[in-house]
This record gives sequence, C-alpha cells and structure tokens, in this order.
Amino acid sequence: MKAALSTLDLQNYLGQKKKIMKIFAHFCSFTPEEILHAAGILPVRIFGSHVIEKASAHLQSYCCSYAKRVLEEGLTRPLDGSVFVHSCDTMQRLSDIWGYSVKEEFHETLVLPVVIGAGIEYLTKELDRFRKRVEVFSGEISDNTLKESISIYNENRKLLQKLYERRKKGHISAVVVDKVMKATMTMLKQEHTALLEEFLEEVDPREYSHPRLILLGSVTVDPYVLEIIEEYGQISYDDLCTGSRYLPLVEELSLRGIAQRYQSMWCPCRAVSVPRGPHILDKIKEYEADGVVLLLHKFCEPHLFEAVSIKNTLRENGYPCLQLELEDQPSPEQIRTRVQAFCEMLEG
Amino acid sequence: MWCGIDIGAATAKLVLFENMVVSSTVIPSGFDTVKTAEELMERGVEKAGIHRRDIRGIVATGYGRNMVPMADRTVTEITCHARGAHYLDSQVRTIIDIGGQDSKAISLDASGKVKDFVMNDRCAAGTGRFLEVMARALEVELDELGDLSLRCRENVTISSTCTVFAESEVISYKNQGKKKEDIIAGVHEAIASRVLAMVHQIPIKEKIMVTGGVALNAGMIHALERKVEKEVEIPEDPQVVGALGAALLAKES
Amino acid sequence: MKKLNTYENLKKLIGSHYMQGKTAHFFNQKVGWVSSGAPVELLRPFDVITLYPENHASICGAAKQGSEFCEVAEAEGFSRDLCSYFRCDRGSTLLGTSPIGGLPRPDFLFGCNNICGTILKWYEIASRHYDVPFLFVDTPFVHTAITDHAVEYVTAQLQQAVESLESLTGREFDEQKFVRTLELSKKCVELWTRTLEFGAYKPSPLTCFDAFTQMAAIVSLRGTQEAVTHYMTLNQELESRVQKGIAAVENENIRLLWDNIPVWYAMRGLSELFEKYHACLVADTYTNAWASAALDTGNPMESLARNYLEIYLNISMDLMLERIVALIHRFDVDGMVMHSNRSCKPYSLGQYDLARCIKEETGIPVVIIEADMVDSRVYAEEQMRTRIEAFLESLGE
Repeated sequence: MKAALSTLDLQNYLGQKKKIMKIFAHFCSFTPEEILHAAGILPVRIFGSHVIEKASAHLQSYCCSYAKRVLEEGLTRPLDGSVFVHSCDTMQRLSDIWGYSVKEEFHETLVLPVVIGAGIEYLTKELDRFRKRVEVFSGEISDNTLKESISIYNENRKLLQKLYERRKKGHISAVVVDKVMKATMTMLKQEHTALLEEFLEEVDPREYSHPRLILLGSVTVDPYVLEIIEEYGQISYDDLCTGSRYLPLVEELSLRGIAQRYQSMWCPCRAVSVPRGPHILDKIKEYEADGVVLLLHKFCEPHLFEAVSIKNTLRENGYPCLQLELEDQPSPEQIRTRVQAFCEMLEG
Repeated sequence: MWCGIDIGAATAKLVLFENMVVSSTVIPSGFDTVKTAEELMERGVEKAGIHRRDIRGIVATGYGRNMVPMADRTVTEITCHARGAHYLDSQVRTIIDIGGQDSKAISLDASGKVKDFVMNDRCAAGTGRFLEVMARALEVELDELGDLSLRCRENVTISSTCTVFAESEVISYKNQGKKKEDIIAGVHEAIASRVLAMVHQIPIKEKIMVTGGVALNAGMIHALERKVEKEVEIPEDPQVVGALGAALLAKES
Repeated sequence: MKKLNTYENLKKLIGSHYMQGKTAHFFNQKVGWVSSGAPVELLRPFDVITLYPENHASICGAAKQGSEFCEVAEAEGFSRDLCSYFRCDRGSTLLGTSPIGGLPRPDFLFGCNNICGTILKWYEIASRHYDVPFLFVDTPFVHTAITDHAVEYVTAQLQQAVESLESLTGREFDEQKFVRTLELSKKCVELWTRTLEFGAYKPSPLTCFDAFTQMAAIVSLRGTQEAVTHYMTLNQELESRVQKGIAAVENENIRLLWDNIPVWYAMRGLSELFEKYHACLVADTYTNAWASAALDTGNPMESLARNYLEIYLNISMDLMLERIVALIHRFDVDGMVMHSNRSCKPYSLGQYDLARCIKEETGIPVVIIEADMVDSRVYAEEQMRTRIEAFLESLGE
C-alpha cells in the first residue's frame, strides 16, 4: 500500500488540527457529527488510552474497558469539548463523571430515544436543541451549511461503502478497513474523502485461503486483535460500530434526515423489535461466510445480552460462532489460541 | 516416529508415537519455554531409546506452542485434545479439560472433529490454578487433595467465584475449625460448578472424557460427576492427551 | 434490631399479592410483569394483575437462592457480569420455580428504561421467551431539566400504551378509575414519604433495613387501597414508637445514610453489624426514590410523564447530589455507606465522584463497599466486615 491513508499518523494529524480549529470528542455512532462539522468543529471519535491509571479513581473495576479507556484519554489529553449521546447506562453516567473531571470548554449530552422509530419527532427536536446549544459556542449554523456538511458526510460514506464492496471480494484486509474507519472518525471528512479516493484506486487485489468470517460487536479498540484474527481467518463482513454501522447515508438533508438515518442503524442499546440473529444469517449467506466471531467487551451489558440469542440462532442453523470477551488489556496469546482453534475447527 | 509436544502453564508433555504410544514424558514447565522444550525432547528421546533423527514430524501445542523451536507446525490444544481423545475412545463426544491456567469443553462428532468448544475467561476460578492456591492455603500437597476430599463428612460451601475471595473464605473456614477434608470437598464443588456453567454452553453428550492433570484428582472427578449427573471417563494418562493428539496430527500431515 | 409488628401485616399483604398472581389465570385475569419504575397507575383501571420481577428477584436474593438461579442463566450463556436481578429472573423462569414457586406466566410486559437500559434488554428477552407483547415506555434521561419534547414524547407513549392495553384486555379505559388510582397512588406516596420521615427522629424508630422490607408495597401495590391502609397502620406503629421513645437501634449514637439497592442476602448480618456499633442507618437513597412523586390529577397523563421522568436513577449526578445532600441534612447523618453494586451500573458508576462531592459539600465521611444485590458469589464477607468496622470505629471516636 502506497496510499497516504494507510501510513497516516492520526495523533500527529490531530496535533496539527488543534492549532487551527476546535476539536470535540465523541463516543458513539449515533453522534450527529454533521452538526458539529457545520459549526466548524472537528468531531473525533475517541478510542482511548491503553494503560488505565487515572480513570480507576472514577470508575469501578466492573465498568467496561471502553468507558475506562476513553476517560483516561480525556483526563490525560483533553480536547476542546465533548458530546455524549446516552449510548447505554455506562456511557450516560460517564458523561456526568466526565463533566466533573475533564477540563474543557464544551460538554453536552444528547439524550437519544431508545425507540428511534416512535421517537423520531422527539429525536428531531433533541437534535435541534443540540444544534442551538452548539450555536451558542460556535455561532449560527445556517440550514445551508448544515446541508453542505451532510452532503460531505454522504460523499465519504458512499466511498466507505465502496471500500466494503472491495472487501467483500476479498481484496482488502479487515486490519486496513479498520484503519480507514478509524481515520474517517478522526479526520475532517473532506480531507479523508480525498485520501480515500486515492486509496481506492491503489488497492491491490489479494488472495486468501483462510476461512471466511463475519465479525460482530461494538468497537474494535486494539488493532492487534484484528491482526491475530486475520492470521487464521479472513474477515469478509462486520457488524461493528467501527465498521458497517457507520455506512448508512442521510437521505433528507436536514435534522430530520439525520434522525431518520439512525433508524437504519441496528444497535443493542436501542429497542430491538426483532432479534439480530436472522440478519446475521442473511449476511452469512450473502458473504459465504464459514463462521462468526463475536467480539465483546467484558461488562458491556447491551451486547452481552444480545449475544446469547445471536449465538443460539447461529447454532440452530449450524453455523459455528466464537465469542471473544475482551478486558482492559486483552492477552494476545489467549485470543490467539481461541481464534486458531476456531479456524482449525472450520477447516475441519 | 512422530512427536507431539504440549507446553502448558504448569507442565510440559511429550508423546512419541509410531503405531501406538511409544513413550510419554511429563516435566514441569520452566520459565524459559525454549529450554523446557529442549529438555523435554532430550528426556523423551532417552526414555524411548531412540535418536532425534528417528522423529519424522513434530507438532507443538499448548500455550507455549509458538516457542518450540523444533516444531514443524503448531496446532491448538483444542484440536489436539479432540484428536487424542478420539484415538483413545472413539465413542467420546464431550471433552472436559481442566488445565493449569484455563479450562475448556470440547464437543466432538463421530469422526473426532471439533464441533464446538468453549474456554473459560481470564479468571482463575475453575482451573487448576484455583486448586493450587487453595492447597497452599490449607497446607496440603496438590496430589493429596483428591484422597482427602473423599473423606468429607460435612458439606462446606465456597461461595465466592473470585480466587482471592475464595482463598480468604477457605482461611476463615480453617480458623473456624472446619475439617480440611470438608473444605477441600467444598473447593472441588466450587470448581465443578464453575466448569459446569461453561460446559453447558456446548451440548453435553455422552461419553464424556476428562483430560488434564486435574483428572487425576479423584475428589474433583467425584464432584464433577455429581454436577453433570453422568459418569465421566478418565484416560489412563490424562495429562498427555493433548500431546498424544499433537503426535497423531504430526503423523497425519 | 426491634422488629416492627407491622412486618406480619406486610407479609400477609405481599403473600396475598403473589397468591392473586397465581390464581389470576384461573379467574381469567391478565397478568402483567411490570418494571419498578413503570407508571403502573395506567394498568390498574384495566383490573390486570401486576407483578414485579425485580421484587421477585429480591425475594430470591433474601432467601439466599439468588446465586443458584443466576447459575442457570449463566449455563444458558448469559454472562456473569449481567444484572443479577435479570439472571435470577431468567434462572427462575427456566426452572419454573423460586422461593414462592416462581412467577406466573405473563400475558404482557410493561416497562420503562427510567431505572436502567437493562430493563429493555431483560424484557425483550422475556417477551420473546413467552411470546407476549412488551409495552415499553421510553423515558429520556434528565440531564439538567426535563425538556418539553421529552414530556410530549412520554405522554404520547402513555396514550399509546393505553390503546395497546385496551386491545389487549378488550376493555375500555375508564378515566374515572384512572383518576381514582392516581389519587390512591398519591396518597400512598405521601404515606410512604411520611414513613421514611420518621427516620429524622432521634433516636430513629426505624432503620433502612425496615424500609427495604416495607417498600415492597409501595413498589408492587402503588395505586391500591390495600397499600394505603398498610402504610397507615405502619405509620401508627412508628408514631407510637416515637411517643414511647423506642429506638430501632438501642443507644443510637451513629446515624448513617445508605446508598444503592440492598445486599439482599446479607441484610441480617449487616444490620447486626451496624447495631453492634450502635449505628442506625436512618435513611437511604433507594427507598426514597418512591417518595418524590407529586401527581397532579388535573392533568393526569402529563403529570404521570413528568413524574416517571424524574425517577432517581433517570437523573444526572448533579441532580442526585442535590437529593443526597438534602437527605444528609434532613436526617442529620454522621456518615454515608455506599454499596457499589456490581449489578447496577446506573446506580453505582459515578459513586466515586459523588462520594468526593459529598465529602466536600457536607463534610461527612463516606465508605464504599463492593458487593452485589443478589449474587452472593461476589460477596467477600470478611473484607466487608473489616471495612465497615473500621469506618464505624472512626465515626465512634
């Protein structure tokens, strides 16, 4: 890979941006980044520090590692502001704790409904409240600027969808896709789009002989986990916050449009009228996958709840499934043994 | 001659196989895995009375598998245990392996292929390590635990799942004057229930074979059988089933 | 600790409540499983039998059977790190038993996420298991103040729930009955508030352990005449204790505030431990969560929406802190005991910062003990005892 995107140092990039614009931290796929973008603010999704020291004074040992990691990051390297969106019970409380302990100029919690469909009116109004709250900080956000920002996000997401198409054909590794996703969640969208266009032109086809896997979960925090998985298997599709959940486009270029986009995003923190299992079965068939890897964070209630019915559905339909439960510092060797054994099993 | 090497957290095992098991060797795992593997190989070859060059293939397994310099390839202990158990008894459909630092349950099909498996999380409860800690707290040798616990008269419940908390529970029972054998039986019970919670996630089918060093502990097996409500089979040399599987896989490849 | 005579009364009341549940289907009554923070007032006019899985789980916990049921859920694949109320309920469902013979099969579920997001997942799973409808009311978290659009949203959902209930029961919603229920509910909450206020007396005639037991009626029977009658009797007994100078804890010399859900299986041990040091837990944040409602029967739906939005666990730490500080002053406590409850994230996460703020704002010391409400396997009695004793020794000096 020669493309600039794959060699980009995101920390360095942020350091440069910090000098010229305001940067806000966010933590969830349901953050209306478009509004922040329209306000001239760079929204950056935080994945956190690896070593947890300061955060332990604020969060109990039984708190999920993602919350601990991002808080550690906030305490060590605060940005100009932060936006929480009531992702789950833990992130909701983290928003309060963050407000008490992280020094920044802006802190806001957008209270998403958990029933996106029935709550669309409410959500639109909540987005409007948020927009006004941001305007106090940034100055007015005109409807036209908002439309432009939404279009810029749509452009980027169309390209990301293309990236996913390429991976479906087996041309791109999940480690690279993860890198591209992390970059788009860090960079100013138009700049990422430019790099992504160039990147897509340069992608070389690769050959794989490994079993084909579908990866499920929330966020991939440690790239080495993906690296280990890809030593033994080929990830053809994912159902992750740092993956396919980010891909849907905004149809109507307005706050309501942003709200409607969330309707098409599945998340166990939202009311789930139908279990996720059947959807995964469809994906298994579409991507001709051999097995499924569930990447879970220890203490992550919403995903741990949902995992059981997903596993049962897969088992009933004869598809193997491996559950990896990650802690603060996952042990590479333990992950390796499980993944290798799982792929040995798939290869028979 | 084919060779399987299983480097576990507590012990390292080697099996040499021709048309049957020629010899098996078990030594404690040292700090330096490469050295351990070398020593194991020397001892194994000596025991079998053969030369190193007689060995036509080596498969390494266990946590140290990637640190075995002479290995031709590595295979996980899950696949190896399945292969070894199937060789010993083709009727086995479920394997419960309680190792030094982790435990696992494997479900097999009639041809000995792995159908599903589960492993414990990072917590030591439900592993051999848990036994070691409790043996130390009770000041008894690890290999005495089994016989002692079979003399249990009164049930003592260890309720904590955390190894550290359970240790303090054990100590407080000791201070209350509870009998050692009763406490040990409680410890076995606790491990069994932890292991069972894991095993239930794959379908339990008979025959069930228990492998790993802990299988030599009669008290532990007794507690497991009570929990599973089925009889379990213990191979003659439960510690080396993984190494045997590795040797078989070396032969097949 | 002196047992309240009214305890027998409560036992009968709760016993007959569960008995009603058992016989409901025989009498062709619909059974609804309800979350503790759901507006049960909406259900009463339909004459359905309401049962509370959370209360049921606490009964299993108090009977020290919680861990056994949890293990059953874990064998099904549910993580040990999930809420133990859920695991306990799931285990009891799968085994079809419990200390009271298990909960009867629900005809529908009714829940709110104002106490946690866990309710949503839990009830979704129960709804799939029993193949019954789940009426869910989404109650947006209150960060600084209740927003108008949140009230609109919740009110609309309450109205929707009424329609669903109409088609479920084949009955029409009886507005008059509804208003009567609201009045009873309001009365009940007032009486319950009065009960808890007795803790302000020195010495206090009740401890939070009494409140933990007595709360069963305000949780499960809110909006009924039986609950109102019960709390009237209870308050009479407390009144007479005060007049006779009867203290719940003899020679009370340390007054404490408890935070979080009780450690159900260790209630007796804990209450004896505190008593040994003449320490009385005179109030708690948990049972006070049912003492705040100010229902307006003139504008019932909106008032109901506002009330259930402001539930203790649905508000920010700033708002919680205000309420805690108010309790500290009203009950004149010397210290606070926080139960860091592995099962309950919305209640427990944030306690470290709250403890710091409380110390700064009021000067009282806070001790944090880690346990779980139902799963005794994570309970380290020795460590707990040492920590509490050290805290009480330091307060007694």
